[in-house]
Amino acid sequence: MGEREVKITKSVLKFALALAGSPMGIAAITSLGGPVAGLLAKWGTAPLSNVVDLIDGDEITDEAVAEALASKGGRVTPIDLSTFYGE
Amino acid sequence: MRKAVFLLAFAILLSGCTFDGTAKKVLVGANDVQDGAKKAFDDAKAQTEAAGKACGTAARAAVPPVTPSPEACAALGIPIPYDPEKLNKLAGPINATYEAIRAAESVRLAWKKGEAGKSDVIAKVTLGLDAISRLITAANDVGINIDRAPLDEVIRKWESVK
Repeated sequence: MGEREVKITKSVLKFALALAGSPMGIAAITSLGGPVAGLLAKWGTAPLSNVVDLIDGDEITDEAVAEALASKGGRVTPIDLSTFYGE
Repeated sequence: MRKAVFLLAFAILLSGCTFDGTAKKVLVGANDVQDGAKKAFDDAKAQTEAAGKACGTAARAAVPPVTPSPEACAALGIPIPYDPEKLNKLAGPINATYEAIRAAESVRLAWKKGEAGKSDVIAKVTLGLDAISRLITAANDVGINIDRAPLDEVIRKWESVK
C-alpha cells in the first residue's frame, strides 16, 4: 500500500479549516488518517468561531439571509452500496 | 411617565432587534457549516466511490480473483479513504440540518409578518442548532472531528437572547 496523491478541493480545505478544533481533536483525526487528516493537523483552528464572530458582528439584513441560504448549502445523496465495487 | 413609556418601548425594540438579529446570524452561520459539511461529504463520497470502483476492478482482475472488501482493497494497494457505510450515516444529519435551517428561516419571516409567534422562531432555531449538534456527532463517527466548543458558544449566545 504505497503513498497516493490525495486531492483536496478548496471547499474541503475550507471545511477542514472550519471544523478543525482542539489539539486533541486534530491528534485523533491524524491518527485516523484520511484525506483531511493532514489538513486538520496543519490547520488547527476552530472554525465555528467564525459563527461566533458573525454573531458579534454587524446587523445583517433579511435579504442577506435569503441570499446566503439560496447560494450556500444543499442536500446530499448517500453512496449506492449495491454498486460500490462496480458490476 | 412618558419617559418610562419611551424607555420601555426602546427596550422592547432593542430586545426585538437583538433577538431577530441574533436569529439571522445563527441561521447564516449554521448554513455556512451545513454548506461546508455538504461539500466535504460530496468530496469524500467521490473519493470513496472512485476507490471502490478501482478496487473492484483490481480484485476481479487478480489471479485468483479476490472478493472486494476494505481489507482486500488495502492489500491491493487501493485503500478506501472512508468507510462508505459510516459516510452514508452522515448524509441524514446533513440533509436534516439543511431542512431545519430553512424551516427556521420560514418561521422567522412569518413571525416578522405577525403570522407566527416568537416561541415558534425559538423552537425552530433551536431545532436547527440541535440538527447541527447531531451533524457534529455523525461527522465525528466518520473520522471528522469537530470541536463543539464554538458551537456551544453560539448556543449560549442564542440562549441569552431568546
